[in-house]
Amino acid sequence: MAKHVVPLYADLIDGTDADGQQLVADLHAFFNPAVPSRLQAAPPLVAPRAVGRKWRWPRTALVAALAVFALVGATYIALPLLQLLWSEDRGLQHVTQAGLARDLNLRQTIDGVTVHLEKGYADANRVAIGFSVELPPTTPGDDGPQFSSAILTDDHGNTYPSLGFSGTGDSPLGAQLHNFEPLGVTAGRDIAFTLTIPEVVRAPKGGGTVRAFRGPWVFNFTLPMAAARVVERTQTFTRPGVELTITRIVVAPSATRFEYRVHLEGFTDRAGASLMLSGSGVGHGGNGDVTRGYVSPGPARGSASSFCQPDVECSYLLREPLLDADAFHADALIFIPDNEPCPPRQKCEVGRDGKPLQIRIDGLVLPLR
Amino acid sequence: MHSSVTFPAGGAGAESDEAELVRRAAVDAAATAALYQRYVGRVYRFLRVRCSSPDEAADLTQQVFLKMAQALPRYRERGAPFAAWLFRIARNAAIDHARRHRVTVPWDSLTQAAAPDDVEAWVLDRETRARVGVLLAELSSAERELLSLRFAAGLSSREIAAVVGGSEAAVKKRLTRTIQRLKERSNG
Repeated sequence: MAKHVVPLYADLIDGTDADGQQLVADLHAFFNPAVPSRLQAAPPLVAPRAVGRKWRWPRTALVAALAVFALVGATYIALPLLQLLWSEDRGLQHVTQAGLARDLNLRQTIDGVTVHLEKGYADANRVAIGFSVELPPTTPGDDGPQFSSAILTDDHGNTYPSLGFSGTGDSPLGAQLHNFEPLGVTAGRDIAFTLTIPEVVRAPKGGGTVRAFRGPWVFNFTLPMAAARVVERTQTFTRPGVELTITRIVVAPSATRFEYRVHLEGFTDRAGASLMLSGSGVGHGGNGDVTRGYVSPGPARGSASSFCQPDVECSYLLREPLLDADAFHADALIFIPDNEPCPPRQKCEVGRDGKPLQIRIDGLVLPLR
Repeated sequence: MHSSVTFPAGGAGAESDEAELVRRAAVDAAATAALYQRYVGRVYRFLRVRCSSPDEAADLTQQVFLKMAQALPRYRERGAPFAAWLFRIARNAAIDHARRHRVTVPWDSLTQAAAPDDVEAWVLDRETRARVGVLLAELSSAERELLSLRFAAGLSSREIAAVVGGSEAAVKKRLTRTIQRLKERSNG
């Protein structure tokens, strides 16, 4: 019997009630079956961008766009959507300005669904692929944002893990920007990629049935691998009972990757731990901008877990061009699950109910040269 | 296999961290991935008892997160925690699913099909599940839903109240009474 779960239900049973404790332990076991691995391994789902709220067409431009739409069809409207997604990513904005992104302009139509592969970019920290999708017209109330899974492989048989995607909220016209983790490929040479989109899914706004349009749409193309700078300098930050080690920093044109591991003294229940290097840090770019970081739930390559575990190599990906920066300023957050105590000697921040929430290490300064 | 992460419920820091993550998730792929990883296990377990097979529950879980991703830009915290908002989506999806597929899940059949490395423990586990399933089958659907929101979804009474309506105190009272009744039947 899993009696260790009983404290989770202390508000429902008397602490001296053995039968009650037995019952909640049984209920807990009953309601907590194993989660299928396909769910845990699924590529992250990404919220559609609130394009319409952030970006307003000037009235004259809107009239002109509608005229163009009426004359030449809807397909070309999707192009600005992808450009918007691409340009809102500061790392990709930088690579576009530097002339490093490649126009692909490949198009394929299956059963009335057209996928237009428009743009690609690759460096040591990510491969970014942008495409637009034109779905069949919808009936009123049946429209909604579109999603796709996308599989990126190369001519050596490598499959590139997904780093997530973003998409516009428009349907039937939409655009998607997919990011993939590069697999140690060498800079300076062209890579022959294949992008496979098995299906496109439309999720109606009104909560109706999700509709899947089956492909696959398959595209072959090459991208050059842009050069990156690697800082091999191990730095360790310690607090009582906790040790954070930055082992390697890869500074590439589209993003910066921080590889790290965390050691928690006395923390042995690895199955219950969840750690993240949070994006509360700031980086000072060459132009003086202060940059928010990104939460990175994914571990470094080679680890099967979704969250960083103690003493396991993990990575923190900042989608920000820091090639001109001398250092990155960050804070680290180590999250404690609610059924775990604060490990010995560590100072945990606690919530209103007194439960430990996180261990915090502020003020990291990480050299980028 | 990675065990799913349970997000701390009820703490001020937890709520502010989660609010920040939710705010970012509307525009940031990585933050959405983090939300997915935090909740996928809890959503799956909540839906599992409403579906006839693990595969069906997994498919429905994916749909819930598609809907979450769709609705995130419009999410505004107005007293209800994010978890309650997400499980309202999951609850509605389960209701829609049951309506479409006319699903009737026999509660005493929800046994694990895990490989029996330890045969004795496996048999005991099956027996326990069968016994709990029989007890649950005697409850009303509303009572079973409260239990699944607490034990499968891991929600607090306050969050459950935000999902199903009513006050926190009323939810806690109903949960306590239901457990008391189950205990009496179990002993009887």
